[in-house]
Amino acid sequence: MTLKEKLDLLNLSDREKEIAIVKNSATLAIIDERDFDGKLSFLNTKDVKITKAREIKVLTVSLEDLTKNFSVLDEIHESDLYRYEPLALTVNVIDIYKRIKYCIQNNIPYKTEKGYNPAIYTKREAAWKKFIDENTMQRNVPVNEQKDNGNVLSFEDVLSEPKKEEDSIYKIDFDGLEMGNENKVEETPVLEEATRENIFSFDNENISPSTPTEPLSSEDFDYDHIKIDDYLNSEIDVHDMDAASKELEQGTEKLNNTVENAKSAYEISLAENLDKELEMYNNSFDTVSFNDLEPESFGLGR
Amino acid sequence: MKFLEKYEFDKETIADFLNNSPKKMIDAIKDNKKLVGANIEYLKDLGVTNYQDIFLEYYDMFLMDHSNFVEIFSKYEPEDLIEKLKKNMKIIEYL
Repeated sequence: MTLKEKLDLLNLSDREKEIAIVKNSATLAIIDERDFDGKLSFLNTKDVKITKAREIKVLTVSLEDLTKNFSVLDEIHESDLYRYEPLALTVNVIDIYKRIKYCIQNNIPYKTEKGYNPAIYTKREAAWKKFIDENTMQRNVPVNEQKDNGNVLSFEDVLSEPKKEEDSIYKIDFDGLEMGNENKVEETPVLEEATRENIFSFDNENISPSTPTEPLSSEDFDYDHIKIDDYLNSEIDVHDMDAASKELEQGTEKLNNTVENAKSAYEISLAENLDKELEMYNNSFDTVSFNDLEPESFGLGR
Repeated sequence: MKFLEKYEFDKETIADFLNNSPKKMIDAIKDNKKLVGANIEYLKDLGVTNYQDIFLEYYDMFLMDHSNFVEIFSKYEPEDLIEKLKKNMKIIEYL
């Protein structure tokens, strides 16, 4: 199976396919073609869609692990996480399971209608610790408070909760984890975005899984009036950025010079005028500043 | 994955990466550590402060051919690029 054949089996837009050709060819090559179809079929039955080039690496996870991941989160009825964020399938499912359980036990909001807090599926343990520290500090309750002193359960309490053997398809061996503020935590910009109030609380109200929220209306984001700098600096979460990326697709062909590189690996037929445009573009290309990029070239702004 | 220590990844970060990445990707990175290292070094030398976070999130991109990898970032003024990546590294998907 060639790389192009693998790409054609994925439900990617033309732009995402071009990105995949440039940025994710190695990943496509790594995916074992023997179970490529099987994995796609499995994900389809679970209603998980690979729509972004960056999500292709999900298909490098073995079919056995994909099945296991769903089984574990199905136990707590949270496998919707993978429908919201397919990349979470590449993260250790036991870590995700423990984090969700901890949030539920301690009434820490970890999801909204728009999706799950990235702290739930972050690769960085330090980022997860920072998340619970922030949420625990807001309530002025120490992280390791004993169960008898209130409703807060320590991580050890969650880990020691009895679990029936027959309910668990996979025996989960919890390791004791040290929690607390003693370790200095690096800043992670992605997490900072995810835990800000304006994403997980509306009108200064805390959102819990049971708190109903109204989705933002389209009037709240008038993409035609957002310039590129505002777009990059705006407080838009991942799902709104996905909506904005559709706007970016319009008018990006002229800036995309990756087809020249892709030609060596693929037979891609292009319209003659596009070849000429790219050649002219490459010949006149100079260092470009972000400020020089007019919003119109990204399909944004007026 | 010890080669990542050369680029100032601490042991905890490396352990997190190994614990949360598909085995095939880890093997591919190990098999191509010179290429991956060169791409990491490029970002680090460019002055990108959160190159480690970028690697943890987009590690498959670091398997790109080095010249193509450099071309993606060299289109932009370094200071602008560094600032924008620091604010929101997800813009890498649009470069």
